[in-house]
Amino acid sequence: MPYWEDVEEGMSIPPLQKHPTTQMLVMYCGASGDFYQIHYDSEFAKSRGLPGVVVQGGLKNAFLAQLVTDWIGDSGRLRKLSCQHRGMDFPGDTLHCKGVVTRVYKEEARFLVDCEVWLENGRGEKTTPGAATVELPSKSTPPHPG
Amino acid sequence: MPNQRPKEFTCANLRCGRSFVGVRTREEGNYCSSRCRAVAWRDRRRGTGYSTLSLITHSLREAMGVPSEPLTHEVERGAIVRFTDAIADPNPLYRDEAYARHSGYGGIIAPPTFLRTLQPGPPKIQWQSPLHNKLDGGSEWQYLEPLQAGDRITVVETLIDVKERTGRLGPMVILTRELTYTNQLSQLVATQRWTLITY
Repeated sequence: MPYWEDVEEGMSIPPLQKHPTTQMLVMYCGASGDFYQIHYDSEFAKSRGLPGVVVQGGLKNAFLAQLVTDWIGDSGRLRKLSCQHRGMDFPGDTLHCKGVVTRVYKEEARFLVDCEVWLENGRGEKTTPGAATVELPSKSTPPHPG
Repeated sequence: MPNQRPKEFTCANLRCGRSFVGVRTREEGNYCSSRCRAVAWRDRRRGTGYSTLSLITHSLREAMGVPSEPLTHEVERGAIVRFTDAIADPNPLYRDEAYARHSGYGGIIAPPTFLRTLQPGPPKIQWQSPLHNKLDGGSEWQYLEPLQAGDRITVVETLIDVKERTGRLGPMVILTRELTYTNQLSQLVATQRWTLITY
């Protein structure tokens, strides 16, 4: 897990691959309580102008959150996360979550890092661009109290 | 239904504009026939200048800026496990009590997007897009306090912006809602700006 001092602008975040399947989409429907049929009923999705069932925006939001929390570990804190669902993603595809550090700074005694994060499909299209701000432990101060 | 008495309307298809008698006032405009409705919508889609019709209905304007009723939920450990299974995130902070206790959090926490599963209370002014197909446009989160298993979270939703646009899927109404998530200590845990695209 990184310390604030170890992070530099332009550094890549370790990438994360996710493999949404139709089963995963259904599990997410159950866990989120959102049973909108475009996520599991292919005929319904087609009747709504979509090519087939689509991966939930919420699931992609969770993948980008995992990209960041895997990187910062237990001592880091996610402070901001945004994502825009510009393109659709489909079950069966591999989704590549990636990120790069855009700013390393201190604000009100907090050690912060801004990142650009995004999700890319198997064809290299960035369907979900986003951004994150994290707070990291510093070598100059003790870690978060218990 | 209140006020079912016949009234005189002007057809909202500007190519027609004829007066007719109808019984229901429709928020998206009144048409003398289904053909006129189709023509007006086609004009709208093509941007021919024949359409002044706005999809931002009266109820949407009225509801903007008015917070919903609050609704409080308990963050259940089982729900966290079900959610992390669904997103396939094996992070032990979300499921391993002993591990989580020795972390800086002192107990099991929920993943950042778990808050999406907690519904806000009903709106004080009912609103609905005139378009019924939905897509998630994205979210902007701000996290202030950790979300722990056992917390009681109160969710309030406010419609803060409505835009209309024409895209690949035809006419769209884009609704932005702000949700606030507050814990049992009255601490603001997180805010979410959530965009819903209807088409």
